[in-house]
Amino acid sequence: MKPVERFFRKYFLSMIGVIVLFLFLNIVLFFSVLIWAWQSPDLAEISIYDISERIIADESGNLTTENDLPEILQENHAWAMLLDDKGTVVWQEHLPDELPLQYTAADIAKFSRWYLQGYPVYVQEHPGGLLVVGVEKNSLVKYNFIVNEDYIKKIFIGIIAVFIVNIIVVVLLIWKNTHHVEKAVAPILRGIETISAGQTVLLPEKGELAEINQKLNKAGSFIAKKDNARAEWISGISHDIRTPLSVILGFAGQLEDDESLPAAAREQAAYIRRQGEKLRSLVSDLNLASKLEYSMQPLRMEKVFAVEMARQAVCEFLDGGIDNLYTIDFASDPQSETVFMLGDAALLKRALCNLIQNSITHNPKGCSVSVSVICNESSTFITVADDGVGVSTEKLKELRAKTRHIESIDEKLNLKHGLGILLVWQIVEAHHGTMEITSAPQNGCQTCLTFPNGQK
Amino acid sequence: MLDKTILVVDDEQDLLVMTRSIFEGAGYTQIETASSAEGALRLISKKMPDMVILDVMMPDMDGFELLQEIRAVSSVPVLMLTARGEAEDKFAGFELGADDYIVKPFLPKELLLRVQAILKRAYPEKNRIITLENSMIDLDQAEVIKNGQHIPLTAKEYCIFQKLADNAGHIVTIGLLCQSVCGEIWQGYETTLMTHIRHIREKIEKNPSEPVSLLTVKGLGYKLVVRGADK
Repeated sequence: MKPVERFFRKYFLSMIGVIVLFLFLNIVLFFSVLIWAWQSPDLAEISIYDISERIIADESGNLTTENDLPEILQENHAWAMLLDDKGTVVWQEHLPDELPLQYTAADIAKFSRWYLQGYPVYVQEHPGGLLVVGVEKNSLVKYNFIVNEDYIKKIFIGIIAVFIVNIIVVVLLIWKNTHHVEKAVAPILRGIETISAGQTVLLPEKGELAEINQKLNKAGSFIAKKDNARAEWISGISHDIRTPLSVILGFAGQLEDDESLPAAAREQAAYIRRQGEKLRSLVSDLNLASKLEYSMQPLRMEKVFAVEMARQAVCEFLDGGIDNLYTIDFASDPQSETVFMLGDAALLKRALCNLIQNSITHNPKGCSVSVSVICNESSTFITVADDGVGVSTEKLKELRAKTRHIESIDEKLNLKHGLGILLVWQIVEAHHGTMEITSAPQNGCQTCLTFPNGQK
Repeated sequence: MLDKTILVVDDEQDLLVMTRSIFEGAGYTQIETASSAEGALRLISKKMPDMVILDVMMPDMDGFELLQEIRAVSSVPVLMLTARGEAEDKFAGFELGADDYIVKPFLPKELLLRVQAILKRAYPEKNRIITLENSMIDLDQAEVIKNGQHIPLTAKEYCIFQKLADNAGHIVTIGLLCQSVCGEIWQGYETTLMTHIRHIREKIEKNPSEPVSLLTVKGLGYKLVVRGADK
């Protein structure tokens, strides 16, 4: 399920990235606006300092102005006046008519902070008194604020706090949202993965994505139904073959043993029996293989003492009357005797029998087969080795290349070697075990099955 | 044993002919066949056979149902014959009281051996005396007769010997032998088993270190060779 989680982690991080980018962009834009506004043409380019410098008062209090002063004021639609300590206008230039020539201390306090009858004014101390420069009405906005330091600090901290809280809330919301989407979508993605692995899914058909879940369930059950039909079909066919095959085997066996028949006829009967027996094992392998493939064969898990299980399998061969060309040895050790694994005894025995049978089938000129079972605390190792013709490198590659699914058999329709090894693969997989085949041409073949002991 | 009545029930006529031929070829004289459950019940109601071989899948009534009907009135040994290899079928059959189970397609020899084993178990012969190369064993008396001497077998030796005798000619694994003495949990008994085997050999063999009747199959188990047996 790694890809699904990875996807959502990436999605979450990319959302965080988007937010960070968004913030950064906003900061850049904000300062751009500030710079742009800063550069907008000033309505009052007039500087009170320049004006103040152009009004010179000598020691006796006489005022002289520079020549360009009226011009500067004119250009800026501004006016200027100088008040003495008593609030009387002692000098003025372009002073609007409606303005009085005498001001009280209260008037001065008022206009220095706000407006003088609607005129925004600048006020500056001058050696000759108080210089007041006014500009056009509605050209300037005057702010005044008086705050204590504590207030500024609080505002500053507050703004930072709000900013941080905002960030946290946004991140949490994104996280929650991602989680929500993940909760809805992850099962669907997992469902798709499950279906692609050939298993059925059952997703809850509720919530916002109920419809998709429903469709996925339908797809899964459709595939399962198809697989089932296939397994049923194989099972049906193998069932129908069994009874006629019993009759063939029965009569062929009898003809073979009938001493009143000519030797040639008995030999022919033996051929029929042998081929019939091949068909017999193919039919039962095919049925079990298809059931395991489509998980229709429930495993009967129980304690299996592998050593004894293997002994019984080997004895079946020896008692079944194998040809003199073959010998089967069995080896184990006393410690392994008491170790058990969890597994389906019948299937494990079947796997072992198939391996022994394989050695016999592939060595028509005879060979000796050795079976060994060694168990330690954690694993059980079942090895079947023969000293026969071995397997070509090519064939070995084929055997190892996980061609253990029935599909590959269908595609190739290559049943020349029977389903024996495929079935062993399936049984080993069903028990979470591993299978290792080693062989060299003319140098025998060895197959080692390893099973974990404690698995459920 | 060969005079026991065996009823074979299968809907496939050819299979009935074949099984009859197998049994008669092996010397059985009382073989009855029925091609339907109904026919089988009719035959059973007339006279209960000594053994029944039942096909599981039949058109009128499945073998399990027929088995139940038979079990309601008799404990006659029943061998189930089925074309389905599923373990579930096997267990269902045993739960309903079948004695054994064979999956089609079977080999004639396998059928004969199983039937023989069931009959032997169900109808034990009196005066069961087993003749070996150098001695005779009287299972009823649990004693060995060697050179005119009567040597008793201990209880455990008897258990082991009986298991070997029941499977005479076949290898009996170490596990199965231990199981016949100890039951399900037998692991760890192997060395004791070897001691018992040695004692049995001392009683039945001429030269216990070169046994001719109770043979060791290395690593696997033991095999009892009975004189006059065809194997």
